[in-house]
Amino acid sequence: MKKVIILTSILLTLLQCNAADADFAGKIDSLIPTLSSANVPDRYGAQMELQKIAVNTARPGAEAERVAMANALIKKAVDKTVPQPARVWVIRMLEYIGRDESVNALTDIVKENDIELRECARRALEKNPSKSAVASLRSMLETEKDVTMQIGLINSLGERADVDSVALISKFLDNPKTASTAALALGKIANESAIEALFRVYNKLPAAGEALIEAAKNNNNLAKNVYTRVYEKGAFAPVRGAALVGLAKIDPNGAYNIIANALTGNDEKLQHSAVVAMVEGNFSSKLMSLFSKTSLQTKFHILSVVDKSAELQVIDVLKDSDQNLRVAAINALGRIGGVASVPVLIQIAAGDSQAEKSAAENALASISGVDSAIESAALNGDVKSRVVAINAIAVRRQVSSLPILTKLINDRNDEIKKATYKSLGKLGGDKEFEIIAKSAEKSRDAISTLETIAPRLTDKSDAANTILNLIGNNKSALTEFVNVLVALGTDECLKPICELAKSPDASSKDIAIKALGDWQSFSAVPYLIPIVTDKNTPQSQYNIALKGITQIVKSSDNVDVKPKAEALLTIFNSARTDGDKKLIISAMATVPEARIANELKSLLTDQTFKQEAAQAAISVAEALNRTDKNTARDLASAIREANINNDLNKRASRIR
Amino acid sequence: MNSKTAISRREFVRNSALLGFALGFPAIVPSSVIGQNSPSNRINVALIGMGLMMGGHQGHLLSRNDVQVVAICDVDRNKRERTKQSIERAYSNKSGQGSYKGCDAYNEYELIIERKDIDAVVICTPDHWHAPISIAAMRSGKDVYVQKPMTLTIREGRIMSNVAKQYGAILQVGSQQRSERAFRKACEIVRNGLIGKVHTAYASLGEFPPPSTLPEEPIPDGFDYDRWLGPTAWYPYNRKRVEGNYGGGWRCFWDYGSRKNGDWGAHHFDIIQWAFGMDDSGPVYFIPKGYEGTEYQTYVYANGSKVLKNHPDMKGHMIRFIGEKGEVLVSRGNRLDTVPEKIKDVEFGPNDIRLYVSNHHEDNWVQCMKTRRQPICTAEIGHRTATICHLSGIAERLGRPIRWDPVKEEIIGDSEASRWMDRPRRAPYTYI
Repeated sequence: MKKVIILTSILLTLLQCNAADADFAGKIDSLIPTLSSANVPDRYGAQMELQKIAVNTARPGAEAERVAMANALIKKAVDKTVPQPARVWVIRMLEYIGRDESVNALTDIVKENDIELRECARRALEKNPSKSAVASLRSMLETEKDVTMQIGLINSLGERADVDSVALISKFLDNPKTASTAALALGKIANESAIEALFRVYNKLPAAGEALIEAAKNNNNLAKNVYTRVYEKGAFAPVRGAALVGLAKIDPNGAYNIIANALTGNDEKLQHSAVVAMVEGNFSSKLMSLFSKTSLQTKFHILSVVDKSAELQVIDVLKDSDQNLRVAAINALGRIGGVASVPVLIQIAAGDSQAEKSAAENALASISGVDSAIESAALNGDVKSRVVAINAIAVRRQVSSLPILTKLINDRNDEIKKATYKSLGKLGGDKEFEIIAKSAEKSRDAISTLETIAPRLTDKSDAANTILNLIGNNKSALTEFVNVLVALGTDECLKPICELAKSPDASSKDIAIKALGDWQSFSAVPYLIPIVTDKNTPQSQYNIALKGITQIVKSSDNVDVKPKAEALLTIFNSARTDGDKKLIISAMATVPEARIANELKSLLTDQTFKQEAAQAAISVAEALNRTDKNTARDLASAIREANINNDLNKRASRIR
Repeated sequence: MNSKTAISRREFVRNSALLGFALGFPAIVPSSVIGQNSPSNRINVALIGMGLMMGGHQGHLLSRNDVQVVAICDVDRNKRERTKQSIERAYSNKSGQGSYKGCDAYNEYELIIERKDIDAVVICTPDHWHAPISIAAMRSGKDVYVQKPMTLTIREGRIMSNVAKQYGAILQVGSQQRSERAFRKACEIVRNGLIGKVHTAYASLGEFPPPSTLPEEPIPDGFDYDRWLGPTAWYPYNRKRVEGNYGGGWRCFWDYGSRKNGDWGAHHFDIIQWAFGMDDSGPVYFIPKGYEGTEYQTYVYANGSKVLKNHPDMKGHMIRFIGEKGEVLVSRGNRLDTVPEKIKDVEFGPNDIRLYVSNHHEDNWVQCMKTRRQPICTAEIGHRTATICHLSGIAERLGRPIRWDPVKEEIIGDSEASRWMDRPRRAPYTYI
């Protein structure tokens, strides 16, 4: 019974295969005419269709389908009545999916005369995973006379790392046209005889050196021997250098002396390779002990690769007479430096040499794990050095050092205080704002610092109360702190400024109106409108208020369009010049509202404003098209009628 | 079809050099014949592939006093001659000393590789030439600036990275977004966790028109088409196949790259790798668009973070990181936005995760050639990014997902898909 089931299932599989064979053959047959169509562009669709079928049959778990498809392809590949362009594509499919079943057919095609077909078949064999494909390639190379095909076959055998081809390929080392390909193929095969064949032409054939390096990578057992011989017997620095790096990787301790000798030898190229080898062999820490014996160029290289263990030796390089080398050492400390580097770098950053100063500042900004050392330097030492350290605290974003900075604002030295306020401006938060505001110090630096910190506070209302309490009824204090209030921008800050704007004192009034003009929220607009509409407002205050309103309207994305429209329409009627009106029209572009749309529509017929009005109108119409289609269409129609330019007409036409 | 039988010039060149090599003479042209030895502080550079992308590099390098462009290479004779003249004219104008003749023009890059007086090469060829030329240059002791994507295949990238390490080369991949402040800041914000775990990133790559089969046209006089095709499969010449064109040209064809994956993907996927701290690794799963209803081409990292190609909701940006606590949106032109907005103003200190600072990609390369410090976009980084481009392309072409082991660098459980990790090279252009 069991036998019957097995036989039945085999029979079914065979029947399925035959059915699949027939299906694939039929499909390929139907594609052949298009694959070779006289109208060349037509071929692409058929190529892609065939490729889709072929690669799908080669999906995991569909071996029977793959075999069926490959067999169907083979029939067409060898059929000389099939037009050449179609055969080329069919063979390319075998390159993707062919295995054992394809080898004989592909071998036959390589023996044909058509160069393109031969080359396609050779490549398909190279990618064919079966052993018989390799045997076939080898056998063809034995008799092949065409040099290009010889190169192809040699390369294919190299790609397949065919150890049985070594003797055959080695013969091609003697032919100048095939020597390099043969060498590289032997490097890929990389067994003992391939390596010996390469050594026979080493120093005669440049590719042999490259191939030996590859061979060493491909043969762990022989690698040490190969690298050593390549290094010792070679004449070409890049290949010798590569051997040195290879040796460092596989036998670092054994290779150390060779590498060290190369590092201190006369060949600069080899010195560079030795640096790479030192790193590869984990000898970075020993690089600096040989530093003084290397060339200047190699010294730069060493400084770019040394690790933290070399910190003290790199600090020594800062005494070198070559400024470029000193800068390179400073850069290296920026990467590897620790606590020991901090005082040295601070001293350099406080010095006069611009190149070194800048490098040292960058280094101080990038060393990790030295926060305490920098804090200590900020508290002790000469003023210049302390200033460098205080600046570094800010650049390093050392938030943990803020308590020290808040103490330093009471330092006796003005330079220290100035630097401290600057750093607090960059780093400070709510706590520091409170401390600075409540301190006795009310210098320009202190107030600027409050202004800088204010926008990023988490509790602006609390900060506003602190400042307002500080100001009390003191008008002079109000003018001093007005920019801090603007930066805080809360409603409680607005009130005293509005009061100040009513002041009879012209200078106080100027300060207040400027503050209102700089306000970041729409709440200032109601106070600015009367300034614009009052015919008696001095021109300078009018200008500030007008600009302020338009800017606030443009930037108030979260405010409803109605009050914004109201504001703009009100000031439009009081605008003193055409230029002012154009400024207001530009703000109208950001307010998609029906009354604004009507105003712009009427301005489209005004010769003075129609250009600006059209630009604003299209933005309004496009935005309104999402919420108020009728108004949008009406405005778009007016834009088209105004016929300002093609671009606007096109955009208006899209509003339907 | 004659061109299909061409013998590699490299074979010719390298083997013709045998005699000189054996006698201990310089392998090719001695520097005394080429012209004056350059001052020791100058880096002698050769430019290879004088197309669209080379323009900016050429302009920058010519403006520098520490670099001398001593040779150029292109398979188009007209372009070659025109560029040579323009470079020599630029140097004449710069020195103010009459005519200058010091820039040699070559059809074969191998002649540049053989020149020992050349320290470095800039490679702006189509993608299929990036790896062979870069590898040859590094093995001959030169440094390399190679345009993105770094490679045509995954295997090429592994070889290039290994060669760069072993030969100690300074190789900069032209993913220059890494040298833009906004991209660096965006990555630092993500790396420092300011938007929480990033569960999704969108990358806007755009689309190329589909590739096509093109009718044969006569090969223009002076254009070495066989060499242009190089290691890729032979096709009849057609101008549209070879033209350099940001909207298509050779970039459209799978034969020469990974289409948009390798074009804009090489930039944006690179930034996402940087932001995710995956420069020596990569995603584990690639899903093509359309597979079982997948709406956007997607790849997934082991931690579950997904990257979607061409999602429409980019909010006007090129890359959008969406995290548990916020978003980072970044584009060229130093455009950076964040949600919450204030995140973008956060300044980082030495105790935060800081990334490599380069403010100019080519300048970073030149400085690194002098100091031998590794540049901002090394071969390993370029390889890992290009791997994403290639695997995205492979999944798209196979129409099925790919599982990827970024440690072993192997496709998992799909042996036929694994074949696509490299492409067989057309003889005689087999060098790698």
